[in-house]
Amino acid sequence: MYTIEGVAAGILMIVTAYLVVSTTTVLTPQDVHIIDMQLQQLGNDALAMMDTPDNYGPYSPLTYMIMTNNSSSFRQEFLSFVNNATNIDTSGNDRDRLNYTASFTYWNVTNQPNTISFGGSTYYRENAVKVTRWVYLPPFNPTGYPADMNSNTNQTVLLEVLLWRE
Amino acid sequence: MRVPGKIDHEEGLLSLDFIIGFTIFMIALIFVAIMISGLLVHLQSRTIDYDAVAYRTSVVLVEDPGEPKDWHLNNLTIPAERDSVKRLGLTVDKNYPDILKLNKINKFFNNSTPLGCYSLDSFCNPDDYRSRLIFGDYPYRFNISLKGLGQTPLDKTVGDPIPAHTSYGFVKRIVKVQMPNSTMKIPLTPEPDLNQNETVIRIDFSDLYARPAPYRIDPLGENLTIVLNFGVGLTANITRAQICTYPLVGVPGCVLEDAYENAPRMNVSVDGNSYIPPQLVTNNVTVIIDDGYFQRVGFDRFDAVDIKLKFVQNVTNQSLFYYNYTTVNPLPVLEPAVIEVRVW
Repeated sequence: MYTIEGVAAGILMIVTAYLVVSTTTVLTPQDVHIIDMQLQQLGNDALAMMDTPDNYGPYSPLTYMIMTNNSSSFRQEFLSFVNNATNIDTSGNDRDRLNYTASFTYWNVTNQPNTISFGGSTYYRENAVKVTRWVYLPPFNPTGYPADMNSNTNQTVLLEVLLWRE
Repeated sequence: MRVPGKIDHEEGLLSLDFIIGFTIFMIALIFVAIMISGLLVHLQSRTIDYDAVAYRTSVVLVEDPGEPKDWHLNNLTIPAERDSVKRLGLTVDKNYPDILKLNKINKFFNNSTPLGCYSLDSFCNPDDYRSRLIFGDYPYRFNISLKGLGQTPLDKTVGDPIPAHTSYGFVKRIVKVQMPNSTMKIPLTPEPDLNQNETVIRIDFSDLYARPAPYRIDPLGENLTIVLNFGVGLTANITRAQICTYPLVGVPGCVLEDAYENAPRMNVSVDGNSYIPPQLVTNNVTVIIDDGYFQRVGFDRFDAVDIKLKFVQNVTNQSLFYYNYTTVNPLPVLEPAVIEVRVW
């Protein structure tokens, strides 16, 4: 009697192990990481390219946008970068549907870090990733600066962008 | 064995049934343990695998200049030069990821089917791309597409059509493409005191290489164009076009424009027609030096050359023109683009 139970238990274990291991539809954490990684790579690419001047010499578009506090230009260019597609996939959408909310952190006149919003949409707890970039600002004094920014000296501000797919 | 004075359940002996059952259990366990490595093959989910390959491919494409770094100058009709291309990266320099070189893009997307492709100056689709970009033992299918987001139209694609009902690995990258501009225009006007019958244009490579790679005029890797515009009333007969080394140590080494018959070479045209000296010039003389020409002659980034155009009549009173970032207009600019890699 015990022998039969032992045989049955062995077979049961083998079958169970096989079924579990061979299932391909298991949503492993790696799947989610790859989607996150794609978004993060895209966001980092977009910020890096916005922080690259088109011509030799001047500051990058991103530097100018932050110096003049021009969040609408940032929105236009950032969404253009991350949402454009090559249109080679005619079966799907020709544009992606990514959205963002941004902020940057700077030193204020009392040498305290201060964070200010830099435009974007409202975040409703979608599955999002955060991309960051240190942006160099020269000692410049345009009107667009946050009023309490220490703008007499060059500094690097931390731009943080929360990015998600709608 | 029964021991006098002890009862059965205190003997410490295993029953035969239990031993058999336990043995079968252990055999099953060992069997599963041995099989588990084979069964784990199924865990290589296609999505994960293809996404990883697509990402790796995109990294090679947009974060690496390739091997050799100036592979776009190779003449692919020569088997040795085709074989020397080890990796197809598109960046201008290893220190500038995501900044792509237009010449590399054009060469990369110039492909043809395997039948007879080895006799053409283009990559074989898909073999060359699999062995020089995607790598791996599995014969992945792929589609790589590029679209410019700037003013210059730049729509390119290579690979198979995207499958409608098969999942594929996908990565999208944002890049900037260096649009090389390297045309120097020299206006020549009829003046009473013209005293030079030879125009000399000096190109100091080390001056050009002083700028970082994304904004550089690259005489070794791009076409250089020089246009002599003749003003109204000025005509002359051109008799010689040559490139000479500078500085002149001893006898200068000069190469005439017809030194090479095939590209890369020095191309001269007069008023839009091919150059046959001596030839009357009424509008312009255009000199285009193909990318890779200076390397073919044996120059490197520390050399300097003079381009000399000799006329019968006097055409200028300036003894020397400099080809540099002040005289070339417009200069290289970067334009954004999006590149998508699909692998399945």
